[in-house]
Amino acid sequence: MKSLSLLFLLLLAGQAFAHKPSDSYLVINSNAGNALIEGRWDIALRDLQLVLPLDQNGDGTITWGELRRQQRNLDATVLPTLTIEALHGEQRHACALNLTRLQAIDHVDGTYAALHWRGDCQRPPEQLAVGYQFLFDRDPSHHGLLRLEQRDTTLTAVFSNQHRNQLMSTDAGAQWQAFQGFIRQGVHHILIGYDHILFLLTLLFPAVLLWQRGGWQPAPTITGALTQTLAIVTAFTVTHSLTLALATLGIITLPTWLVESAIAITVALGAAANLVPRLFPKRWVMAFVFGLIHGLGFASVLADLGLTDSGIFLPLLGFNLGVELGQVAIVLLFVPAAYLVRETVAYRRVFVPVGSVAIIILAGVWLAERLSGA
Amino acid sequence: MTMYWQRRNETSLHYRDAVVEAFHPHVSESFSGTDKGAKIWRLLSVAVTLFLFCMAALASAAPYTPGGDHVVLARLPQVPATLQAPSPPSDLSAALALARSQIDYASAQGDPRFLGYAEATLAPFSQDMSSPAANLLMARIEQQRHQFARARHRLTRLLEQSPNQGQAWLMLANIDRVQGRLDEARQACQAASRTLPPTTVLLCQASVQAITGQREQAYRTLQALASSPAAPQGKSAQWLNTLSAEIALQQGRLELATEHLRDALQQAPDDPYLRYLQSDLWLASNQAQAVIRDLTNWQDREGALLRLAIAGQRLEHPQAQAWRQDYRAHMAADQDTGRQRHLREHARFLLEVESDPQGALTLARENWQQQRELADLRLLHASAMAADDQATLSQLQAFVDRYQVDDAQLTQPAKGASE
Repeated sequence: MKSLSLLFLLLLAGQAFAHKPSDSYLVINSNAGNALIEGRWDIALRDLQLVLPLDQNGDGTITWGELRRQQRNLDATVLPTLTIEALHGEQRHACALNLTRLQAIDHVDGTYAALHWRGDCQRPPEQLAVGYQFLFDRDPSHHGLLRLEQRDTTLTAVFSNQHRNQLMSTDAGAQWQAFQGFIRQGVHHILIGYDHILFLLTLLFPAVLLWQRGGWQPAPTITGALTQTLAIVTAFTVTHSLTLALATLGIITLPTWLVESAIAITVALGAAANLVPRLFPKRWVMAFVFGLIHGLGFASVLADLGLTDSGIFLPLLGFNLGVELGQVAIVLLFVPAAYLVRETVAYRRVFVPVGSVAIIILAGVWLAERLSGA
Repeated sequence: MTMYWQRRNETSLHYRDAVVEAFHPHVSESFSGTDKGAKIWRLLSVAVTLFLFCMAALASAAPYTPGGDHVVLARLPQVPATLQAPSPPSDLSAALALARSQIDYASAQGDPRFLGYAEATLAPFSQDMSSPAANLLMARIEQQRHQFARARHRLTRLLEQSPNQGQAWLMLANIDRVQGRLDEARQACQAASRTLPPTTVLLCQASVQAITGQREQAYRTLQALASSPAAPQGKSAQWLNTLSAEIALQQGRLELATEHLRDALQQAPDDPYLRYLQSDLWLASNQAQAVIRDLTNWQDREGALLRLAIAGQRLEHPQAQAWRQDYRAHMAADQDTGRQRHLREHARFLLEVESDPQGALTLARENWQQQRELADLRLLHASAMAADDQATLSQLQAFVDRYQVDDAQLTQPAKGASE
């Protein structure tokens, strides 16, 4: 007959349970730049009573006095089932948690103990690693519902027997991550943006040379080569940062096809300047003027990345920084190599002129494409 | 060169997505599908409703310091201490006995915590299939939590190893029936016949026949069984009466259903399933007052609260608003807990109490992915009718045609649902 009683219970499959399952509610308050966190942990008295002798007089009720008398046990045995670590870069600091106040709170299925606590993480956290071990050995279906409240955002997570650890990004951490994301985007864009690289390299081809007696001669000192390089890179950076900012702020708006076509023209002109340097005596001026156009090109990429939710300043700064980092990397790879081979005929007589002609042709194709694509 | 240009555009788009994800790791849901407008609208209405629920739930939640040590914060349920033993028995047969009482208690009281305690009791014995009994109990726990896929997986594994576990076949049949895989359910009943007594197999078959175009035959079989010398006793007699009541309801014979139900309740007056079925019959026959009389003492149970809220609203009972608020709070607390929600009940609440057919339809559709009993079919049908959703109605019709489902509640909807 045992089997039959089981059979009958099978009928209940579609029937929902009435009481709530066992959940605790954990709120963590964290403010950017602050090493102190605080929070509240609401635990059902029915659940607490499984791990602490709450009903001391055995009358089937739990009074406020009975709960209050367990405050020390709550601090010593219950609170430690919650662990919080602050992550700051590569470092991890355990936040020491202390019970600061005990209250009661009513949830939908009855009264809970409200444990107010405070934690000292030593460093302002970028991420919080929260570990939760409460009650799973007694009730594996217990859940802990976590809410991380910050000034700008609220994140939620659920602890269960299978998921006892959660990693939560704080606002500070999220902003830093976003900033890093934009730096990576800037680097990435300058590295995949062939036209920007080509323009820069075209200007740098002769940085290790001098135009004398109708031909390119090796620069006599490294100082001269470095001064030229620095002048060109600085001029390019100043102006493209300027228009990048202006376009991102919406002060300048030009159609993409126009900007992209103009960029192709700048590449062609840069290469032409290597062939007839008398027409373009000051290369840094060229970098300065054409940088204005390249900045507009960067801006359209940045706009594609979407800024609406993260403000403008940080993404702009991060992206620009990334572009400069990528640019510096290119310069550091190219200039020393060019300096070493500057005296060879192959570099002065073949690489510079032939390369420049090839670049002019390439830029011409781009120009045609970009104009026709419009 | 064209390649270059295209590629660059693509990568920038790709990276935009990557960056957006990096900033908003929690925004992962996206709307897809063709009937976007209607869907978004529906989702929006559900979202607004749930938001209001959450606000209502939050508004009441502020910690306080009770007025004195004598203030009673909680009354503990009167449970034998053994059911909450701090350390589970290490002996298998003792563990099985304890887990069984814990599950029985959970069912009778509608208290899911005891399912968790039972899970802890069974934990040392349910890691592998060496104890079929422990796994059967675990499957029962999973099924009661509506973790049907998990339960089904466990049972199939168990049956691969021990195909003669009649009970496992029976449970599998039940899960398949609840989830609307009716052919598989029939086969599982058949497989159970190798090891289980014929009476049990008859009951199993009848439960499937009733919803697959053979309800008259199923009813006759049950009645013949009841008046035969082999008439089942005890729990299985109760099962027989319950099934008979449900088929009578399906035939639209409410008085006959009430009779069968009365017989069943005589054997188990406090059985929640029967009490709620009784209430639903009363609601279907305009006897809301009887529901309130019967369930007022059960207000701490969500299933009772739902029926009280429906009855209270129909009668404009002074308590109606309180029941409604209580149920809303339960629904809100059910959000974001990472658990299976009681979608059938929640959808019914939205339809019958909140007069929110769109919200009800959304939940009823979601529920239909999990549960496909007659009650779920009726609910989805009623929601789709109220929301005038032809796509859902024709989808339901396909299910009805495929299994030849014959239900008076669908052809002549219960008075209650449309009131």
